[in-house]
Amino acid sequence: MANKIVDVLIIGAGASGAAAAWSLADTGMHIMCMEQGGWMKQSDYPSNFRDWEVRGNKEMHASPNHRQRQADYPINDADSPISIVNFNAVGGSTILYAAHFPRFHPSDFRVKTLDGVADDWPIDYFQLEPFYQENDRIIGVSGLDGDPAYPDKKLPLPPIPMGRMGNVIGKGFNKLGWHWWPSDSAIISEAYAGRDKCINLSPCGSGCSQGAKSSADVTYWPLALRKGVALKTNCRVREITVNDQGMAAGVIYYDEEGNEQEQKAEIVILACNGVGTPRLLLNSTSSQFPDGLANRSGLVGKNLMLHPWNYMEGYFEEDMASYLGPRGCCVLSQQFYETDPERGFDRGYGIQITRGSPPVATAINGYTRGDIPWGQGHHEAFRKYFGANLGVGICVEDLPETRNCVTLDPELTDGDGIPAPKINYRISENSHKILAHARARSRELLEAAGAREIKDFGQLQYAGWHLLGTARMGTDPDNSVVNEWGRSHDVKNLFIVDGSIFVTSAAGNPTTTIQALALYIADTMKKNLANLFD
Amino acid sequence: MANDELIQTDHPLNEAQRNTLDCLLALIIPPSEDGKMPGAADVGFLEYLLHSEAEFLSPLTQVLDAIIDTAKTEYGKPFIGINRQEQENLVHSLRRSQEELFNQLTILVMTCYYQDDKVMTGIGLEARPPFPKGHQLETGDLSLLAPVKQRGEFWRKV
Repeated sequence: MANKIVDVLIIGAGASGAAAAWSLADTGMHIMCMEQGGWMKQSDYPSNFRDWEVRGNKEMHASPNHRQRQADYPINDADSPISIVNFNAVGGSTILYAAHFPRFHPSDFRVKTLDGVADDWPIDYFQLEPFYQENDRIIGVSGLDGDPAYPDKKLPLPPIPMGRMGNVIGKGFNKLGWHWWPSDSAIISEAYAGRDKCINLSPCGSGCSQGAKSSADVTYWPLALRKGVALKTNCRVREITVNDQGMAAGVIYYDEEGNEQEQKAEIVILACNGVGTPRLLLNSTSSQFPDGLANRSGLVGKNLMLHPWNYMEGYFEEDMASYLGPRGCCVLSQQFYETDPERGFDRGYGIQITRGSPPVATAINGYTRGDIPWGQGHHEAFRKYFGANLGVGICVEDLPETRNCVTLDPELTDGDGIPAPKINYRISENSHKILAHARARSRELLEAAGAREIKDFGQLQYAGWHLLGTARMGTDPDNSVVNEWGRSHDVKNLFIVDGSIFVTSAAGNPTTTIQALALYIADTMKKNLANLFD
Repeated sequence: MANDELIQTDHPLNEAQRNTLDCLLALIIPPSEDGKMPGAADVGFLEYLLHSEAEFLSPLTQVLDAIIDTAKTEYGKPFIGINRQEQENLVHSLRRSQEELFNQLTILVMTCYYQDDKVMTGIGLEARPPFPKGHQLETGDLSLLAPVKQRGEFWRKV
């Protein structure tokens, strides 16, 4: 059954789809967004309940393969040392993200010119800067102005409290003479835009019951809906259809009852993340696009970048009450962000200081490590570790390689019979060198801060939060999937606004850049409405 | 069949299994010597298990039966009838041969234990979910950033 044609159909209601919908609504066009999940309820999130730690690891587990909510699709990531994590709902993966919100640096857009690796982006930092700023203003970003690692930027809200652990690790950084700064956080430290401030519930990674985390469902969506955007939830798109002229004609999707439906559109915008977007394009084959839609370059699904992530913990004599506060947002360092030829690798890494563990996790992790035993020694050992740990996370800049890719699994399907994505990913030699360097520096940092004990958990498996590069942007149609403003080279009414279009990954969490890019693309579309398909 | 091997219709474990479970829980987390922390036998573990992790009831029963049988074979007594040191030796020997199962059990015991009201209070927390009251967090000393500011702007120009 075909529904009435819309002007713009956005697929995916996460970070980028929400931002694009909000911006494009200025045009007065009939805009519809389809999302395979539904609305989340703050009253259902784990931190409303006594067993919040357990719930966070089950129904709100970061991996869709573990979580298996109805809205989720399975992902075959058996051939990757990094498992893919995401969330499918209005707000997308911002429901679960840590909200650590560092911008890219100007150098991140010019890595080929500066360091001779990967490719330059077809846009630069200063083109995106006003959209970073607009995004910060819309969603509410907290941080401290004056970070010398960046060009000047002004954030709308003061920083999230560092807590006692911030003082401890700050002194360690100072002892070594390294850069550090309170994290830019997509969490409101003061009441903002009708939302109440963060009250340090701690489990940001399983949804924010307070609504203080700036997930897309509580920021962009209320605004976009008020501007007239239609949001259809629990609709899973199977494929994008094309007309005789090779233009996108609309989509075939399954509605909430599992009925096959058709939605026609003048413009289709993909916002399904770096795994969901190539999955949908590769599943949209036709006589005109036998290898998948918008894939004449052969690059759809290629160049997957995931940010290998090392994690080390330090344990201190002092009780820092480190289990309090937004888990992923405390302090970051960009001391080793840029290429230094003496280190023996290209590009670098960011250091993200994360909070300590709550009680159940302290006990279980301590037991599993062999530090918290059975018997009478249990209580003393628990006291030694609880509130006394902090984490050093390493975000490695992952360079694009065509062998790292998303394809369609030949057997595995989701609940509607749509082929699941299959991930083939290897950590590169360069990334291994970065990890080795970063491990040594993490240890040095924790020692300088006075840690009595240090544990290296190595490169984490469930760290595939940042899904980037699988439909990259560029000016050459042979070497990129979309142009410098997100339009497909092959299908002129098809746009991509999510992390797929990243040319490189930088060494930090990408959501602020994803949203700035979505706003920039929407803005460019608005400026070019008269000749959008030329 | 001895009385203690009867399973009451409203209870998933027989008396011998229940007594053995209490002893086992006390070996995993005994009450603290200062009396401030309860033991794992005092936090309603079985109720927790049945409510939240019911699929582990069968493996738990296997563990308990193995303990009971070993005590009979090695000491000719029920597990609760042997002394503490003998209990520890017996259980540790079984732990070595069934490591995975005992690890799962320990994780469940600790999960239950550290959600209990008395335990939460004992470790200095309020017995409540995080929301809606939340927590106070110290701002931190931003003056520690002085040397970072002094170093000046260092982002790479393009």
